[in-house]
Amino acid sequence: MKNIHTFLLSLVALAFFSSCEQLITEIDAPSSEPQLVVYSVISPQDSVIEVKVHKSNPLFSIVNYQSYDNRFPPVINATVMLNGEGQSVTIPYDEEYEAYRVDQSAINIKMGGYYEIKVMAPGFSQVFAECTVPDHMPPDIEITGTGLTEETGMEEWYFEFRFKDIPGVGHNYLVYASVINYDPWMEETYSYAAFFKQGNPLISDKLNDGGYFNYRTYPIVLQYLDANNVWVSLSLIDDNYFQYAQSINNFQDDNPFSEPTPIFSNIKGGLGVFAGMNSRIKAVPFQ
Amino acid sequence: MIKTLSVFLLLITGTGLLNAQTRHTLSGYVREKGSHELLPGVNIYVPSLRNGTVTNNYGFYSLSLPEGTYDVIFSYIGYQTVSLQLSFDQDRELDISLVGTITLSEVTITAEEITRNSENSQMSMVVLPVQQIKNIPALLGEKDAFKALQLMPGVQKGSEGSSGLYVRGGGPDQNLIILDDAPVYNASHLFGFFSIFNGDALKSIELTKGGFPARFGGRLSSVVEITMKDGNKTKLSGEAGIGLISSRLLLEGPIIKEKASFIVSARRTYIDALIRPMMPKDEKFGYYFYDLNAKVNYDFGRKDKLYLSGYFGRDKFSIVDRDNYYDEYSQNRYSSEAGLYWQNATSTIRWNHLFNNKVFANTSAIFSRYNLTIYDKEEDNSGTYSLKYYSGIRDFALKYDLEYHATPTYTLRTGIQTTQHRFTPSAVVEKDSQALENFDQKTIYDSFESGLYAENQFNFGGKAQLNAGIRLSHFAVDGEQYLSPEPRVSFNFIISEGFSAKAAFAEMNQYIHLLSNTGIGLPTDLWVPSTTRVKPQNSRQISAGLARDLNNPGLSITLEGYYKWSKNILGYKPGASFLLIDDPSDARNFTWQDNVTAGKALSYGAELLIHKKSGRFSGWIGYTLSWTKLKFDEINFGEYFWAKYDRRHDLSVVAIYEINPRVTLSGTWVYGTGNAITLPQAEFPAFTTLPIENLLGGHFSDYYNYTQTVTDYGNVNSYRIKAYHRLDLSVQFHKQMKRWERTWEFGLYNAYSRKNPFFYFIDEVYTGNGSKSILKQVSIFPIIPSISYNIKF
Repeated sequence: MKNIHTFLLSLVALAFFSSCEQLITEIDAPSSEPQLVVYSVISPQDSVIEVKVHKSNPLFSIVNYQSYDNRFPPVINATVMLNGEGQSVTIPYDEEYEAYRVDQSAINIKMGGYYEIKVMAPGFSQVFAECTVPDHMPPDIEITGTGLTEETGMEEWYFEFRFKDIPGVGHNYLVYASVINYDPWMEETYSYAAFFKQGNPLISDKLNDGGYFNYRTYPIVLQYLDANNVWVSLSLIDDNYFQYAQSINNFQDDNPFSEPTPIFSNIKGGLGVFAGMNSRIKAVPFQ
Repeated sequence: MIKTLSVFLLLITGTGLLNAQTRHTLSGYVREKGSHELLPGVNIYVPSLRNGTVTNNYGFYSLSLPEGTYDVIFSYIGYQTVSLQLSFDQDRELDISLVGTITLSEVTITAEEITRNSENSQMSMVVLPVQQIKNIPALLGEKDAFKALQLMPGVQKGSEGSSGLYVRGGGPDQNLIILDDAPVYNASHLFGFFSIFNGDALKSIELTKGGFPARFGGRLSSVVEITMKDGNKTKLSGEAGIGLISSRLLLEGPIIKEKASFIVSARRTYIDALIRPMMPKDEKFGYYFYDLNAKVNYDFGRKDKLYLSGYFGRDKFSIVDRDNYYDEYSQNRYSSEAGLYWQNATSTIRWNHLFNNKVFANTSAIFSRYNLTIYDKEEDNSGTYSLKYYSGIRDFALKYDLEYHATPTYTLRTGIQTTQHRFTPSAVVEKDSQALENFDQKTIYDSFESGLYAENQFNFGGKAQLNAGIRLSHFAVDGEQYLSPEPRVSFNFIISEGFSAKAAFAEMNQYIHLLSNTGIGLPTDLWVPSTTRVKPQNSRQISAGLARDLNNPGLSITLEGYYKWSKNILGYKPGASFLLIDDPSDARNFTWQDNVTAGKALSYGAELLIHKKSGRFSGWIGYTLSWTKLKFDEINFGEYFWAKYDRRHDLSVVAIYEINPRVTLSGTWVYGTGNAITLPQAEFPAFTTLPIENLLGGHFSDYYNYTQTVTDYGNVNSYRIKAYHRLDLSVQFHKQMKRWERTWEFGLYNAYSRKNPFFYFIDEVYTGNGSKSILKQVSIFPIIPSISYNIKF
């Protein structure tokens, strides 16, 4: 019996030392091919129809690129066809904008209109998407208040506004406010977003059908701005863009404790979004 | 329809006619000889009448039979069977003592002696003999009741090493874990690697997966009922054990001989002492856990018994950086301490009262509390900053259960339970010696959960049993009330000797929910109530199966299928995170209701269990084939997706062989299909629209906006990680000394060192003019030997 105990103890010691091996192993990951990424939001109020076409980089294959910032170059040799409401147009590539662009006169985008887009490019599967432009204009923007503060020691100005939801559930809105300012140092015109202290930039009327949506901006520092007003835009967006924008907002890459956030796409055979919206803007002068 | 109704009525009235004969009642308690420990679940059977009963949780039985003389057999796994010829000519009280068996001298098992699974209307129930748990090989030699339950069909574990239970497609939050009537809210030590249940102190463990009797409610997927031993009423005895990471001690004995006894069991780890020498000098890592079970009981006589039991356990994990980082430039000394701890406390007072030989009642007053605290303290020359985040749940409950053994063919169980829950989903206390104001915010929900039930047990002349009941459950919180009737039916039909068909239906509601971090198994359990926004979870389950008892070689075989619909299941919204690691002070804005969404689940499958509970060779084979799908409007864009713990195949083989009284060999082999995870597949640019630019006809750069790089995940949980399989072996050497028995145990966990997946992560490799991602798997347990020394006196 003593011998058995000695033998077993030796076995335990041997097993213990043999366990100190590599515990991280490489797994054969599923490989995939690059897909076309198509982004286009059409609107009757836009003078130009733009379609961005890029490609995705599969994670588990080697992806070559010229520089890290240029990992997703545009696909310049695609055929982009847009048709709807009895019209059809092939959209040419514009090098300056790195996108496919055509004047609206080539195909009139109508409120309530149904449109389809097809994109083909060598080396990729054809992709297809469809959307229906909302058939209403967004409601009027009502400015409800303005004020001055000096919270940071500099003169700051904020404003409040609201709009009334179109009756009937199923309306989604994109709200945006910004100051358009020319920066002589950079020789560039920037749009400085005015963030909202109250109100959600992306909202649906599911819980507030027919009600008011109220907004208030954070104070805007006026000192360094060469502008006279803030622009507010209110867009009535379709479900495609609403789900897409919401999934982009939820996306969190760095937090290992957060849930994965799939990005919405209605591009069949590809990624991205093809959506429609109607927009209006209002100028709010600084006071 | 009319024909069926007529047959049903005839059965009832026929049963009634039988009842018209003169009947006498035999009642009493069944105990373990020596310790006087009351034994639940003892089978009492009358072969000539094909009738019988089972002792309740307090060892009490009541059997009413027509006048006559019968053989009555008392049998229980692990004990010698007692067979008596008794005359039912008057009401009698008879207490029975059963002797624990020595398995070497294998008792020939007769047709009546084995626990007759086929004659019990309760289906989908697993009774785990405590002795078998002690014989199953375990991780680091730590015997764990929950790990043993995970080896049963229909019960799956989560990740490697986890002690969570996933029962018939339900998550670990859907299990009602009761220890001596008190609910336990977090049953894990060491980040889920071990459960809090010290096997030494346990008397019985029962897991019900379906066909729930009406006396259970409050969770959707399972009830794990754990009963502590009462304590040896005749002599002082105990057990002690020293293992690789923890040691334990149990003491039990009489306070007043044969009247009152106590049992105390404690366990503590010394992992921190073992690891400390390997840590850097300026960093102190601390981890410990302990648990303590204590019970006192007093036997006033046949009519009344009183029990007081409690459990206390705690885990603490901390990192202290006390060597003071010193910044020469600012001459600032800096030190920090951070950590987390969680603790459970339960206590129960129970009073058994026997009204007469047919009516037994139990009254319980129950307390249970679980809380988790995360803290961070930083100190430098200018002051101190501390942050404490706390979350917990506390219960006070009253419970009354009545059993009425009316006739040989009818038993009524009824009762009521009400619980006051106090939830503190988040409490943040922030103190900054430099700030003008300190921050102290608590969110508290008070709620009442109640249940009223009636359970009718019918026996149709030994040919069939029916348990039909209803539970009315109620929940009130913050001005909101929920009331739900929950029908429960289970039926058993005897096809032939030792062979029966069973079917059951149960509707369950769950009013309190557990939000767990779905990533690594952190103990960040957050218990929250149903509210106006978060509705109660609900499930309906039908199950059907066959049960076969084979006398020789004493096998019990069950084959069951189930189908379960659940709704209002909670899940985290995409992008939601329980643990706000970026900035702890963000915790003040944490509102859990905004982070969750509700959906539905569909689970179905089949389970096979072949179980040999006694003999020199014992063990079981359990196999489950199952599917679990989820559907949430806000997840996976409203499409069905596989649950993370959806495991197509799950197989467990457990074998225990007693070579001789001194040597026991055991082994387990488990296999499971890999978990489903969401694997990123590609990266692509995500653009957004600037309506102002389009409408003003200009070309602006959005100062704050930029093209974001996002990840394409494909469908949620569409990728399967590698399958899991593992072999564990152990050998025990027993030796009877003069006054005590000692056991050396040598074990091998993961005997062929299979690299099982713990989690996957993605690594990036840069190749000059490009990059590539590589998928890597982390395993945590290679082959792990263990050695432990146990004594019993």
